[in-house]
Amino acid sequence: MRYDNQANRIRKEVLVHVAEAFMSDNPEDAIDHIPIKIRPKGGAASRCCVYKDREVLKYRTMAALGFGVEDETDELTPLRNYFNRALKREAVESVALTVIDIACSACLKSQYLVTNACRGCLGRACQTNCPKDAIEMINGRAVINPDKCVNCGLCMQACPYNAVVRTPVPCEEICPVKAVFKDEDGREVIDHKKCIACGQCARACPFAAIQDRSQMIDVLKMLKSGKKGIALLAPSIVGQFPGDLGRIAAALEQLGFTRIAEVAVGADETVRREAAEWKERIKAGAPFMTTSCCPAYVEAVNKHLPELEKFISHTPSPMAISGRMIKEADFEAVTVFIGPCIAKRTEALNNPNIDYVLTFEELGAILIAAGIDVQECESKPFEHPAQAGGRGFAVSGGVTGAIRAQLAEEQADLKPVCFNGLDSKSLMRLKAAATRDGDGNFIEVMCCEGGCMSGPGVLCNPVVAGRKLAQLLEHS
Amino acid sequence: MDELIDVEICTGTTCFVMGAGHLLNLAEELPARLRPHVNICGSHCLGVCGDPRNGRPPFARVNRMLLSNVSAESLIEACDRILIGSKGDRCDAV
Repeated sequence: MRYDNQANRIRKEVLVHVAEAFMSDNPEDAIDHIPIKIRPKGGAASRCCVYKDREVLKYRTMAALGFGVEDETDELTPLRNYFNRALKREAVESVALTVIDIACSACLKSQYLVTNACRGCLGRACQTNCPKDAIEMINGRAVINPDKCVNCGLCMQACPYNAVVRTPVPCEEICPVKAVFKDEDGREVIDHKKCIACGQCARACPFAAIQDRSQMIDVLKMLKSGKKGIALLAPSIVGQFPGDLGRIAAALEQLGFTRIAEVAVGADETVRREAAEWKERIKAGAPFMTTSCCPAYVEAVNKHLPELEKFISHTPSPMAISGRMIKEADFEAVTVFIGPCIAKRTEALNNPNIDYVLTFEELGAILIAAGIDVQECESKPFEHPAQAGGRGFAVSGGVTGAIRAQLAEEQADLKPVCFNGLDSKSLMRLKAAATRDGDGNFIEVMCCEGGCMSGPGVLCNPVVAGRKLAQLLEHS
Repeated sequence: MDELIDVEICTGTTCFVMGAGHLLNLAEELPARLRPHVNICGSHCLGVCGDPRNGRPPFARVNRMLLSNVSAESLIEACDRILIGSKGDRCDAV
């Protein structure tokens, strides 16, 4: 489970400042002042000095405006220029994650290390168990020779004093597809040919050096211009803000959205179509079918597991179905998907029915800047409320549950398997499923452990949000 | 100590977004030593986030004392101080 931390808060603080600047009387000036406002002269610094902090904040502000570090050609370009470029942008240009190189701490390469808890004991279980003879005794303490060490970890298991530790590189460690690696300076870079945009690295980095590019300005501009903004709320919205769904909808209306729709309605349709598709495929002799709603998983298959491609359901994701419903009913509608997911940005970029994607964090920042307290809003019922099946998509096992319920009366031989969270090991298991006969004939895959409610853009403790969802499902 | 320590976590939108949402399971995450002595509840907007002199959100009140930029750790520490302080040792920590 991922806990909140200060790195998370500073990232959100920048989003709030950018939204506030947009709404202020002199946005250009306000944007330029963000780094100074957050790190004033003489105030405390998180790094060596306020000046370095401000420089990092400049890049965070750029990311909040939708730009990456790589978009910078001249370091003297003031933030207002990026702001103005963001205002002129007609459509989303790039959704690639960006590494703020000067914020990256260039963590030591992942390694085993003997700490000074080592007593240089007689037993020397570390040395005895090391298969590569990599441990020497220097000044009465065990020292690992990095040239010989193969990172097997046996010394750590063997030491009776727990004196051996492993220091990981958090972003590399969490990446399921090994897309994050070190350049010659030891700083991290992302290989975008491999990256599936799941966003795990961005939240795992203790220095918040990896940032996603926000589309907040594009949405704020659209709302201000009076266009028909339609908010598509992901099923995992439950519990993300204080107050029930109706209050959240009312708050969004105050922001200027014309209509607020639940993506869970699209998910209900996904369930109907996916259940039918599964029956057809199994009848035709396919060994199994996998879900298609998690965009990070779909991207992982496209980039890393091509052998699985033919097993992915062709049923569009709930977001795609919802977007299409809205656009077909009203061609002037501008659709904004609001969810916990960074990978949805990639999916939306390739889907003409979704114009923008916001995370719950970004929506939160906009609400703070606009001074709207969700709890104080008057609850507004949905025009078309979703059913329990669709709403359940927010957690791992939800899709399976909905499909099972859909097929309940048909006595279908559904044997579900759930991949709750993607990492390099589960990807190997998925790969194996494509070539060998697995246990199940319906495979649900969620990139984030726990499902969307544990996604990188969530605001609420997943346990609490899960409980709220369970309560809601009883009444759906 | 007979009286419960009151912990009110602000769940106004600002505090919720800035981190209070991650603290809502605190009652279950409390160490066993504190559980019988602490009463945790969410509160409507405390109305303090508008003034930067109060510090950064999320805010909470521990026995009516306002704390800013709170985390699970800082709230547990504040409760420990009250609890241990009231028993007479480490009074200076209150």
